[in-house]
Amino acid sequence: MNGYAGSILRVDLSKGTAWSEPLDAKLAEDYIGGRGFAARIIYDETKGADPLGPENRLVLASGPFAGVFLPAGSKATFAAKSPATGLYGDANVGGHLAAELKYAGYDAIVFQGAAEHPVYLHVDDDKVEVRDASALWGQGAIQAEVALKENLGEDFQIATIGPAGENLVKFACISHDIGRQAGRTGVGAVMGSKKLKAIAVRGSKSVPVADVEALKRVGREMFLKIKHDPALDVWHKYGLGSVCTWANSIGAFPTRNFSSGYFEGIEGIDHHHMRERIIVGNKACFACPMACGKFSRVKERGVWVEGPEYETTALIGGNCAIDRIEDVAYANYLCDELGLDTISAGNVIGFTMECFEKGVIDASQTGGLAVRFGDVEAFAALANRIARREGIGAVLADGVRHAAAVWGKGSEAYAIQIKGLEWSGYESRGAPAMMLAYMTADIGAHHNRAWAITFDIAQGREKVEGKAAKVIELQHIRPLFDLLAACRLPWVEMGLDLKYYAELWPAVTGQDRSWEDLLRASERVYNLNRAYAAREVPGFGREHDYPPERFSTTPVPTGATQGHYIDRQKLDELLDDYYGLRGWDARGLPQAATLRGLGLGDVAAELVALGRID
Amino acid sequence: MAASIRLRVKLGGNLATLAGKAQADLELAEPLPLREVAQRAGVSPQLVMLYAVNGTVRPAEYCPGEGDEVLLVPAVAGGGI
Amino acid sequence: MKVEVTHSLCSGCKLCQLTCSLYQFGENNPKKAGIFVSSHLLGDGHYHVAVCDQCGDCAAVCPTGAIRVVDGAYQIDAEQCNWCQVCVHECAQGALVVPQGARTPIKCTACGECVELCPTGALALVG
Repeated sequence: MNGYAGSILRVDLSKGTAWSEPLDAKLAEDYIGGRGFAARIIYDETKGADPLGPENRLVLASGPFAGVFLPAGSKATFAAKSPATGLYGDANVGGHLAAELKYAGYDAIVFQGAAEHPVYLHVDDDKVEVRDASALWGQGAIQAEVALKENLGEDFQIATIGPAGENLVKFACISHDIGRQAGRTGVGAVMGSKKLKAIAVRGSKSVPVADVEALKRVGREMFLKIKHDPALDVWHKYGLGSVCTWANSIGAFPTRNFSSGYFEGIEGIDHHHMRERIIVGNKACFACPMACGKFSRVKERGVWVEGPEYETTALIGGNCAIDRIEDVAYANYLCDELGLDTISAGNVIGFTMECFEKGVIDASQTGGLAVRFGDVEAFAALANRIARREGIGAVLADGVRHAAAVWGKGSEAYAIQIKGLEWSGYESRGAPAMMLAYMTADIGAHHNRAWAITFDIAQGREKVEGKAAKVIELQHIRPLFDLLAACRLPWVEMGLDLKYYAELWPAVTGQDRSWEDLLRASERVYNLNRAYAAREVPGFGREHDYPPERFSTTPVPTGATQGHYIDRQKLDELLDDYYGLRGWDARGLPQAATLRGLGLGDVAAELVALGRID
Repeated sequence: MAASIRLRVKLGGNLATLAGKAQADLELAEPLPLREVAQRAGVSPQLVMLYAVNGTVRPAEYCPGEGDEVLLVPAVAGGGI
Repeated sequence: MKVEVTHSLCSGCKLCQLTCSLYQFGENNPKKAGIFVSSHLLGDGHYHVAVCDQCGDCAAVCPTGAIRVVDGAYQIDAEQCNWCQVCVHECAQGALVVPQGARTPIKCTACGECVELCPTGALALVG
């Protein structure tokens, strides 16, 4: 099967066994790869499962564009039923893992069960072993990766969890390639619940492709186009940190627990300060010319970190009002070793800071710690307690929605999350399309399915018309990259023409398939994940799509979006338009006809039988 | 009478799609900050993430000089507009 | 002709390895290449690139004379190679490699494809 390795590796951690299954051609046709494979496997195999129990699956999926001659061909998807939301959860990570999986001969690895003692999976082409990892348990995520690389060799690609994953923190992440993470939805906690400390993969095989000459021609054109783009120098120099100053200027930069979209202390954490004070070099994912990763040294703390990139600078910098780049980078390093998603950590800790300053909590809950905005030592202390579930960390480890439920006093109104997933780096009270994007992202409040802020600015911030249609369009095309297992940034940030990807498809797979048909697979996955939510969460629907009360009642106090908020009526207009266009009913559930039209007749039948839809 | 300032402005990514042109050659009577240069080139400064003058990133207040090449870099080049 | 490296500019992307594999062997397999990127990130924060510097030491020790200059660079004649791998051990750069399942080592032929595509300018073709 051109473009595919042709096998899925199954690992039963309860038994310590592993076996290989041929990749089902129909799965590949309907779901393409990456998130597509993950979504269907999660749907089929985790009905009613406890996310932190042995019945949950942890899927590591690669896809047809990974490991082959095209820009950034190595974006892996880690997926599971999320312990944070109870819905389909996933996180993507770049680096070299998705490519290496293909070289080893696998399109995906699916873990089931749970080991009794800490283990790691060792994959060396066809030689697969579940090995003891007791010596690694308790080590930092990066520490553990380094130890395994030293032991096994530089050419192994490794994914690890840190203490946060081991302690089942609901926003624990999975780490890879000395500083990249599969951050969101608590995939690290699922890995920890299976006592799986690491996955180590090495492969020596080639990825079969249909038309080598066509691949050479198209790939080469793409690589040279990016290489000679005048904006490439900007990306090399500043990476994604350069988005910070811009986002702040348009009022989208989360500040003090999303109380504003404008941070007055932005200068100390901007891309100039980053380049001058801490960046040592550029770090790229596999075959990516953009090298958006920045490898940094925080001399005053004696630590290295990859980053901080936009999200981390937004959620730790602006959101916790920490205004020195060295402090943001240090906090980034801590989260990376502990194995905490920096987005959720910055969100949860920012919330804690607001609660402390407002008197919702006091020193008796914080164990004597003074927790104020701007204090990196407080951030560090909280991050450590969260990772070990100690003291206040035991409350925070279950996420911001839970913390607000425990502390009450109206704090639910500013627990900035949707569906149990903490909001990421864009304050959206001045951007209705972006607000809608957050409301309708399948995994909860995340920005990567649809990024629509410039659309709001270009079309007019107040406008509602046309926003839902744009969000839906983006929700199909951006995730298509995750199905293909290639990073979308060469298109998103360098403007590489989508036509190249349409040409790559037949060159790699030998299949004659239109771009529209590939997008349809993406639409199928979107609806499948919505159906999964409807099945797994009783009463799931419209009520789960609304943002926190702060966003629908409180005007932004400062910056370019001063005065903006989006009231309930407008939110309903956006949702009604969105549901209508998607073929979902007024409750926000996919209609049977919509599911059948996407080839999900079995899913429709199941939901009808359960009485979830008519 | 002040000499005019000729600038070549390149529009990156979808800024070009939005403005209907990939390049704008301007002649200014007096020095203007980059954010106003963007406006003259038909681009809203709100959509410009970074300005580069002759390959060096400059703040929005910087005034380019005669013969300079200005690059307008958008935050999102694909799928943003 | 040889490929010259400025290690501090390398971003670790391994496009050079993938390009070499595709252009020399028609395969998508970066381990089957004449150039190798390794990471010293937690040492000096940089990557390191191992590639043939055309010193000729391998040719000097080859017992069958299988390594000769062809088109400006030392290349291995697979037919004359006797699989002894003395060249692999002799190479100070670690630039000769025997891919999994193969017998004859592979090395850089200074074709320049990786140089043209390297996005950071870390590679140059000189001589």
